[in-house]
Amino acid sequence: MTEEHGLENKEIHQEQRAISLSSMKPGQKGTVAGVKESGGVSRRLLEMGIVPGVAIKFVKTAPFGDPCEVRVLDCNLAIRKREAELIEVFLEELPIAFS
Amino acid sequence: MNTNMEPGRGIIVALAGNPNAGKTTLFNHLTGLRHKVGNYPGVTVEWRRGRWRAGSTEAQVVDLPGIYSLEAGSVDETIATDALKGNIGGLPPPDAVIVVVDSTNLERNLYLVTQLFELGRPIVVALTMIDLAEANGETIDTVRLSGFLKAPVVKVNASTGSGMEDLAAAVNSVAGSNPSFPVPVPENAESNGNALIFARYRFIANVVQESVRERGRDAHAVSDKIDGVLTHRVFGLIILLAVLLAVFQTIFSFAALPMDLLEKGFGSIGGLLRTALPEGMFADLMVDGIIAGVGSVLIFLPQIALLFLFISILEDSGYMARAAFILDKLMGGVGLHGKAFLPLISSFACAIPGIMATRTIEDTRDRIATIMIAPFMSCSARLPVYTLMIGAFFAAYPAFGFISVGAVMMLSMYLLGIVVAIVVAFVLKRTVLKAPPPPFIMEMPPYRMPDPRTVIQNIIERSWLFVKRAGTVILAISIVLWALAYFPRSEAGPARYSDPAAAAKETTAIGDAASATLQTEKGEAASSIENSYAGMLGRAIEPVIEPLGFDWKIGIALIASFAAREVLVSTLSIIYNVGGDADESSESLLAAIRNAKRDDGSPAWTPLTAFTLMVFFVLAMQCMSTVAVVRRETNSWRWPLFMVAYMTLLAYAGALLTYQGGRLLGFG
Repeated sequence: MTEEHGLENKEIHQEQRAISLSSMKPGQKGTVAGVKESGGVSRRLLEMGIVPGVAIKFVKTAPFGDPCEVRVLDCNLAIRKREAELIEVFLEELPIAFS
Repeated sequence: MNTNMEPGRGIIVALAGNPNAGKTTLFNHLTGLRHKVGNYPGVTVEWRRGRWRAGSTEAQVVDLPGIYSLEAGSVDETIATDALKGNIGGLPPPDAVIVVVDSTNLERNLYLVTQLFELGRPIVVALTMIDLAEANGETIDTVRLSGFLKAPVVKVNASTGSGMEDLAAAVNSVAGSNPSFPVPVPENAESNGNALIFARYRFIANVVQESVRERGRDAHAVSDKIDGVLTHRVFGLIILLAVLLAVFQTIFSFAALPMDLLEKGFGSIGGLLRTALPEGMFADLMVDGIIAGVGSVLIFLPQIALLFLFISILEDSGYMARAAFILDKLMGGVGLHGKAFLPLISSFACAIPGIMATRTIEDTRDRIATIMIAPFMSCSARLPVYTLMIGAFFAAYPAFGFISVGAVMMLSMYLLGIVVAIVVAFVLKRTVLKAPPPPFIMEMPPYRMPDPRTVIQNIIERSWLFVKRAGTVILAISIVLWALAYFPRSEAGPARYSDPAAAAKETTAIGDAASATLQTEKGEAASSIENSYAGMLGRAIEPVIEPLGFDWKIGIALIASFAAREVLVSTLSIIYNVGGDADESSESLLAAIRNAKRDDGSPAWTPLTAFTLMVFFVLAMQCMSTVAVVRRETNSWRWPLFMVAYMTLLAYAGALLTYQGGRLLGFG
């Protein structure tokens, strides 16, 4: 449970450098580091459960390159690149297993 | 305590929950078919309420819009918050709130629950999709969950009906009470707006960890496999095309049979009334005005029912979100939502179901932009007009190889509509509907079997709304248009016809072998429409339409076709004395149009005139049913009037450009 939510694990990843969600590749997993402020958009993202410390998986990109699909809190969300750029993620250190 | 215990009305129960959580299914189960659909005052959001026997209590259930949060400021969220606070006129604050929570997605669904507590209304949590959660290997301890939330938690299954007694008991036990507030408020909540969001999610993480056992199996395994194909780079596109084609094929062709039957049915009702009623104005009003006018709209019912069958299945199964996911990039280019695709495609059959289908688009501006451009898709009512014009003037042209000029013309009309729609959407989203683009965050719910009951109720609801709302407006306009073409009526009849011999000669000249009596009747019809108010209007607008190359007779047909595009064909038949029942492929009508003369003896039609008329029909808002539906869907007269105004202007400008441009290039 804790592993999945990772809310308590936040500190462990702190020294890592966060990357933008939009630069993640299909199948990659990580932990949300934060959401950059941009009008009301960041609040919307936070409310959908994309809060710091939560596990996030980049599922895939749509056939025409935008939007992308991510999994957060057991739920698949489609997010446009513009919003994905606001989300910062600590990548999982382990080599990625593509499923 | 704030109860609404009035005799006969019972308690008010609001139904809240995330989209896709099974709220509609539960609502339908609780209220059966005894519910009413309305609009919240001044907005496009619909509300539904119905009666529910909650144990010994009579309850009124109000279905709130599906929302993820109470504070992000969309119309749906504002409405839900207002309804819960009792700020909506005619809707007392609820005595209890049932929050529908999807068990397979507890964390995100519980977020709304934690927010709802802050409104101070007593809450009952209804857990749906329990069977799916259990299949995923999850066991939810409702007693523990209830302890943490300090509110009753009930497992329900709307398709089997289990848990309904428990739900009723829980609602009765909390109704009117003061709820306790379970979420610890962080100290910095005042200074940091996001701290409260973090606190809620931290609370939820703790609650879920303590009350859910044995998780870990991948709940998404099946959905992910399906998605591997359905949103695949190549197969996804092919399947999407196949699905759209199937929808298209069905509403275009399979609906044709019931539509034909309805048309024949209205025809025979008209015929029966004609013989049953004494000849005169009343019979004419009933048959030519009401039956013909309302009938011409009600024949679209099979298309609407079929389209909503598809929409319900696509929505409930989760495929609609995938289609929007695939197409969002294309639609987003002109500022539209990915979900605008299906309504626009449907509009090729008929803009009415297309506009009704835009309700799947949550953002109001996106939705209105889609509604505003839907009528540019060449609908089936334009086909008779294109067919008539192409048949009269372009059929004789040689074909390039296997492609005929007629087919190219037809295709270019469809393309013109699409191009104009794109441009208009682009402009609207940057002017009238300008707003910071709403963040695009769309849930892709796991694939699920659609609930047949919800699908059927959705079809019935949409069909009935169409019949009821559109029907009343259309009835009124039908009567007005009929009267315009009917009055003033001369009692003298055929005697008024200025030159019956000339009319007979013209009829013979175009090779119509009709009997003499028939000729007189047709002459009478043509004469009365020429002398009617519609005829006067036709003459009155002649100076305006002259630059488009249209004479006053075409003007009459144009005015009549503002009711419905296909009316052009029957009006032209009446004006050119071919008889009102001629259709677009009738040889006598084609000949009559080719040979029609202006008052000065020059030909009334040239190929350029015909082409100009087609361009006008692509762009003009000539469909009272669409106007009535836009009025209903946007819940104001502002948008339908704006639509009529800008489309008419655009049509005039387009036709003017075509005709004058064509003349400069030496055509016509």
